Amino acid sequence: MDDSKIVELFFDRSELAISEISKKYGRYCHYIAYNILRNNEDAEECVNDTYLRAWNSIPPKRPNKLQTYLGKITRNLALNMLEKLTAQKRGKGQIPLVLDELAECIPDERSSTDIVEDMYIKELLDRFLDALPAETRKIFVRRYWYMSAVKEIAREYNLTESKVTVTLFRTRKKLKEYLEEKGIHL
Amino acid sequence: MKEKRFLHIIGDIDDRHIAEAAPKAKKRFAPAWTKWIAAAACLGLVVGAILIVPKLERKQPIEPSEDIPISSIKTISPPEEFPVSDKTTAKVRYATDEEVFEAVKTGQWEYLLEYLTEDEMFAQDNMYIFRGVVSELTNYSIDFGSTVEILTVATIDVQKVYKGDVSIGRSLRVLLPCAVYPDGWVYMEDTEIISQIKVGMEGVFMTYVCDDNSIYQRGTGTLLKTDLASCGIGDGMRWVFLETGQGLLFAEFAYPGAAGAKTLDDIEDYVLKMIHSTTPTTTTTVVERTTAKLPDETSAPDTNPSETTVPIDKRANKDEKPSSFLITFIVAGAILIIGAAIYIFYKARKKGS
Repeated sequence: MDDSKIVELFFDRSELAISEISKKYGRYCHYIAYNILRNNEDAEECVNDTYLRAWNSIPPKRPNKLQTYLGKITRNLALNMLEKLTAQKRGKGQIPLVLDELAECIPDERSSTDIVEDMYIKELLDRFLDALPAETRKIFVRRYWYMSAVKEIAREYNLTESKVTVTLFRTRKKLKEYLEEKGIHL
Repeated sequence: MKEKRFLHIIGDIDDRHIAEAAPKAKKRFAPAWTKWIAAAACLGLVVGAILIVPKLERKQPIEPSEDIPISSIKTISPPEEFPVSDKTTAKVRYATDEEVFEAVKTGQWEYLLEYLTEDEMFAQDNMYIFRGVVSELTNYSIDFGSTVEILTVATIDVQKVYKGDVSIGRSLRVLLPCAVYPDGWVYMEDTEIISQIKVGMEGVFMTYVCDDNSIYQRGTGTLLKTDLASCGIGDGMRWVFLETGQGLLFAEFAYPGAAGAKTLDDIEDYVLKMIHSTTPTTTTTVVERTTAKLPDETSAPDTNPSETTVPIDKRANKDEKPSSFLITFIVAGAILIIGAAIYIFYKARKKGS
């Protein structure tokens, strides 16, 4: 079913909307949740929570891209769930590795949690990604947005693991320099 | 923690980047031992192929479409009303080139690529898969009341049919998911493939079939798709393989099995393979091109008496004796059993030691 029709179903408060997004984007959301949580049951719970969150937010929201709208909800929910699970020593998977890698491209430690600054950094990040070659950008987003394993990225883009690792390393370095140049201190 | 903060910031990046990097296909994990069985089966297939292929009928090459130069662009765009049925409440008329240009510039179409594996794409119900040459592109302005959309209908002369009940030589009208700029190509996100279609181009097309329930609704306005075309392309990236004159163009991310394909003949082999693997009890027919061409879709019945419709399995083996198949299956089965036996023996030995 067309996304615009699914959104209309949400607006009509038809429960068919849930079954349609489950059919169309269920596996996509599960992929995102599973990469973060590394547990099928937790990922499934997270995906169901995504549907509920979508049900409660549409309307009033009318997402332009339903796929990424659901993906973002899933990712946020999974990260929140992971925090709880980590407290119970259950969290595994790619998160600790991803966090270690990202620490390299943060210029400095600062305690500010200014929302405006976060939005500015997000803008800078978008500009930075726009300037990257397509393949490098996809690799970067797959690693740090989708939390995909290096091995999986290498397989999907037909590259060696070391090539992916080097690409990520260089991109993180470039990002660090770019953010420093813009005076960003997180 | 600064890394966590960054992880949350990156979560809000632009949708374009997220959609672009979306995973291609569902990962399937199989037990390690299956690779042995798969290897044995492959060996069986190779032996089978060696036995059968030399006896197969040689494929007839598709006639080149040199009579219509790719560089020539033909559009019909008189600003006249277009007759529609009662089910269409939108006002439909031919669009002018200026309207098309404006629509392309503003990029009014926004499509999401439904995440499908290639198996799922070929297993879609109610679809036509065929090879043909674009003979005409017609732009329509559709006024839904609250919004006006410009859409293009491509008329495609069908040369070969891989799936679906379509007649050879028929001029099939295919509704595209966007408008096509008549004078050159303009980049439009998510329509990079289909927006490069031109009159004279040859391609392989995978279309959904329109029926009386194929209603396209925008606000309160409706368009019954069959008023414009008998089938349509699902989105602007996939479902088409175009020979552009400068090379083959298709959404490589969606068809990993077609990686390395250079020509439409390669695509044809791939499409046939996929249709077979996704629909084992296929009713697919291969229709070869004939010199007789039907005048127009509106006057062309679905079943043309002049066409040669041959079930794909029969076509592949019309000169083949049934015993060859039997031998192939026996050989393949024997190799499978040997492969399984080797595996069991290996496991038992390992366990014993």
